[in-house]
Amino acid sequence: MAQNASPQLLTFSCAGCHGPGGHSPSTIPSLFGRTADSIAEILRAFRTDQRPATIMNRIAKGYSDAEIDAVARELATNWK
Amino acid sequence: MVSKLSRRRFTKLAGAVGASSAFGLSACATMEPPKARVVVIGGGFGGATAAKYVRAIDPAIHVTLVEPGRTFVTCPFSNYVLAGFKTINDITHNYNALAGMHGARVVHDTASGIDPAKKAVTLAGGETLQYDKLIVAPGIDFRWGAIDGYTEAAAEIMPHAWRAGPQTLLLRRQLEAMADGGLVIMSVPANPFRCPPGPYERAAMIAHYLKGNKPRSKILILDAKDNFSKQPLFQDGWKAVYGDMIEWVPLSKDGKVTRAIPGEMTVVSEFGQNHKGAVVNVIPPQFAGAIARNAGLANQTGWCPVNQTTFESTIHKDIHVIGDACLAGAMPKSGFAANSQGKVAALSAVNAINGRPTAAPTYVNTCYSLIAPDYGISVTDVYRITDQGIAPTPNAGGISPRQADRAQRTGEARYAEGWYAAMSQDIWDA
Repeated sequence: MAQNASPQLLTFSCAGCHGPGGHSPSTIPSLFGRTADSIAEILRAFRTDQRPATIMNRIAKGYSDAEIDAVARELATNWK
Repeated sequence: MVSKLSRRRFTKLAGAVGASSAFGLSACATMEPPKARVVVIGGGFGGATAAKYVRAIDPAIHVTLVEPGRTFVTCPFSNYVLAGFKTINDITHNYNALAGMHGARVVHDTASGIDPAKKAVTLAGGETLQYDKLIVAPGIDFRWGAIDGYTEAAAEIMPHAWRAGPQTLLLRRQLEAMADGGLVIMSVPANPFRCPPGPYERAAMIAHYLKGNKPRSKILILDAKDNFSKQPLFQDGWKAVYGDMIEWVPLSKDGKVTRAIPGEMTVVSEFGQNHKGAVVNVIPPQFAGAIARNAGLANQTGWCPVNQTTFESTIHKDIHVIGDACLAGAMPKSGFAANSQGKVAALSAVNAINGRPTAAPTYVNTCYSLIAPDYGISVTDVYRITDQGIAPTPNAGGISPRQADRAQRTGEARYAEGWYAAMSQDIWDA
């Protein structure tokens, strides 16, 4: 596994589809106001295909455990 | 107008740190000299993202965005204007949020020169901008004449519509004026070019219009390559929705167009076959936008080599090149990729200004395409730095499943709308 990515940049990646600050303006679910545990749990469920998805299952497989925990903490802290 | 709340949300998004961020809006609004000056050339997906994120990460840095247009019309979703279910207004954005709540200076002028030694950008209007860090995001230019006879004048007869705006509307008018039973020809270039799935989505969107309005018509795609982005998904979708309306001719079947004869609405293939259309859409070969090439930022490929961790030019120091103009390993030349690179370059420039180490990068790309308004497909990848440069993460990403129920396709069509709305807010609208 390559070097774990910067949590700040991981968070920036989410904004592309989920909107600035995790406030989605349209059909994609918003990400603000969630706990770190719930975000990490959902990402892991996407990664193992235990939670149905159109695309997040493909995306979640691209991240390590440490990255999932880091982005979950960053989102829960900053996207309230 | 955007609210103070969204500004606060956005600052939180960026996780802005440091004393300066507490002072709020704008370094340029005060009499204090700015901590540093970042100049961004180009207000598209890459440039406008970078300008906004530099301001969000460190509001003490003065940012000037140089962009000739007062509005920006996106190539993504322009195929839906051709199809008739979006308008050009739906895909037009402005710089009010960037200049307003994000506190960037937006200069509507053309960058005419870059002096890497003096760290200065000259503008056509006469102004000179000094920079500490320059971010260049000029997008593409067309290689006029690479297809013999395909000039700027020819594009008024055979539109490329590969820079959205008047060209999109011209192609739409031509499709509207065409009689039922007409042949629409598309000429598609070899890699690399802007938006690899775009031509094949365009074929589907033109077919959507023709099926409802001119059902005896055909679309002929003449391609300078033998395989293309999301190919099985496109070919399955074309057949399922449009039957045999779309025919694709690859390079190996003489699909490469080498000559255009606008007066005869004809294109000529490598081995001399003439194809005459009622409407002819020529997407020509491309290279980095002129300002990057003129500044010596491009290599012999016509594109700009960059450090794959920071997107700083490997030719000139303190200049980052992002988006379609740069060489980014396996990343496609897409709006999403430019947005992703804009964020990495912004953080890299700010960290360098503040004497902080470079952040470990992560890049992502997600591209939706429509086969029909309720039939969407996608490709996505999470990219990492490897010994071979930027490469997709193994066993992740990829294209939508080929065997899928309707819920997957309708869901992805809905998420394409959501993607566009969120991306537009991330860059211009909020």
